[in-house]
Amino acid sequence: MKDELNFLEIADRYIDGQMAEGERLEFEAWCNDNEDARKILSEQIRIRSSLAEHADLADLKAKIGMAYDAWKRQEAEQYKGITNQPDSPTRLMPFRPYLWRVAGIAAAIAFIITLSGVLISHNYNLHKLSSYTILRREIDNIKRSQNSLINDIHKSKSGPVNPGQYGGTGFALSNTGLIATNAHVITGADSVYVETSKGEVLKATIVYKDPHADLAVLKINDSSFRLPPLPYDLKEKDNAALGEEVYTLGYPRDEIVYGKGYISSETGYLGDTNSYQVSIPVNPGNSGGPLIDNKGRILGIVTGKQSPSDNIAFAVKSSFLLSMLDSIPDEYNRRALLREKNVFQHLSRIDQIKKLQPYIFLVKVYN
Amino acid sequence: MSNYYLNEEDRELLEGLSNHEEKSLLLLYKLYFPMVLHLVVNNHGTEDDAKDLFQETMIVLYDKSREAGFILEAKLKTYLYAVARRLWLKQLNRRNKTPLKSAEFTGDETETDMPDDLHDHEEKEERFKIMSHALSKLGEPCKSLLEDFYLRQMSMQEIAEKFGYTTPDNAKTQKYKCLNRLKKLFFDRYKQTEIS
Repeated sequence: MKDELNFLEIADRYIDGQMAEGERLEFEAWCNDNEDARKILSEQIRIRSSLAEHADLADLKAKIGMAYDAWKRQEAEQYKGITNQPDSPTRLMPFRPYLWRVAGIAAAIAFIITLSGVLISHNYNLHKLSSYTILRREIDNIKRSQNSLINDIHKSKSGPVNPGQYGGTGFALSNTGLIATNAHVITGADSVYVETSKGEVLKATIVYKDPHADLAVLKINDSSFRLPPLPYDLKEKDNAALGEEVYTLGYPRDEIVYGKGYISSETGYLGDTNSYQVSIPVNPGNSGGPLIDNKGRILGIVTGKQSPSDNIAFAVKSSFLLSMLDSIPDEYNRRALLREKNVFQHLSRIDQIKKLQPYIFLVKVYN
Repeated sequence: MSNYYLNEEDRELLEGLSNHEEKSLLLLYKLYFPMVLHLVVNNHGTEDDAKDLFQETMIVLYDKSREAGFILEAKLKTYLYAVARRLWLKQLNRRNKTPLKSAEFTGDETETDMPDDLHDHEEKEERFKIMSHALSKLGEPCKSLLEDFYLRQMSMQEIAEKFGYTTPDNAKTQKYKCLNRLKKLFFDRYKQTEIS
């Protein structure tokens, strides 16, 4: 019994995301090899998620019941011809969302599912073979995009002689269709289109461009375009610490790609104090993507990398994004931009990324 | 293409709902309960049925609003009506009554993305019932102890003091026993397909 008790304690720490990377990997590997451990972990995840779900739903049901009572009261009063404001409903204890616990559980479930997936593919050789192919295809892809980067530079020097197509990334600055990207992404653009994660293509106009800071703002032309409120906010101070973990989402391909890394220097290329140096895998097309910290705050915007070295990228610091927001015309509803409320803090990385995707755009430039 | 995104008012309502906000819940009742009430009382139901049905409809909507990257492909009103109608139809079939008058329900555009939502909902409701039952069988102090630890995130020290255990280690052992009992109660009735 003592053993199981200890294991459950460890499993709880795993589920709550309290393990450091190394310990987590070790734990996962161990569960991978140990059927009993796997079974207990799986049960623990299920009982805890059901418990959290039950508490959440019970709270919601109670509140729905009270809303019904309040509605009934109001109806009755209206019937009597009383038009003044009804009593405000009884103040309740503020609801403490159990969501972040559930979020951790979701990540753990994802692991268990992956695990069973791996276990199902018994044919080890086949498995090896297929990942080899995938890797090769990725290398091909990188080669191609590196070539196209060279082409791009060549073209921009000789002017827009050959009509071509360029691509970059952008992210939402408001839920009304304002999008931040890099100025270099839209250089020489005749027309700009953005593509959503759902594959919807929308025409956009350049409303602001600062080649010096390498920042630009696009506006989706369709005025009825709306997203849910932004789940992230901008970090006001440029005080990201060395070694701080960051990630980005972008379109180095037609599909959205996730990249993880850390701040490797507080200054950018050749000591540029406007940028961070980031150790993160990026490729052409990642330009204009947000650099996000663990709490879902935007620290900067990915602008380029030091070729040909791997994993050295640069990102313009968020304070420049903020001052850019002050420079764009008022008519674009600045109040809607990057509101204070950050709903990411307690979400797992996987859930953050899921939530983020509708806010990240593929920017397509035609000239 | 723009109607993939909600209008401001619907969006705020949904956000409020996903945060269990009383204000939004009340507004949802004001705006949409009369519609559901009408649907139910005109189709072999009572106001109490309508009350239950509306609660269930809101929970379906709540689950939907909590999905990552959630998008409603219709107006909120249309969506709520479609869900309510579907749930009520099921309820009536269960009671072996005549199905709803079909003439009343045409032009439902959200029909196609409905089944999944409702299937998940039924499973969740089933889990909720089984967990409710398990927790009531489990009784006190086990129920509070587990909730304090797993949901209110109290430390073992705090729990030991609250429940009068001499040491945090004793509280830990007690928690372990409670959890094992809950697992037995819950999994005995809830046989989900193993995921590992």
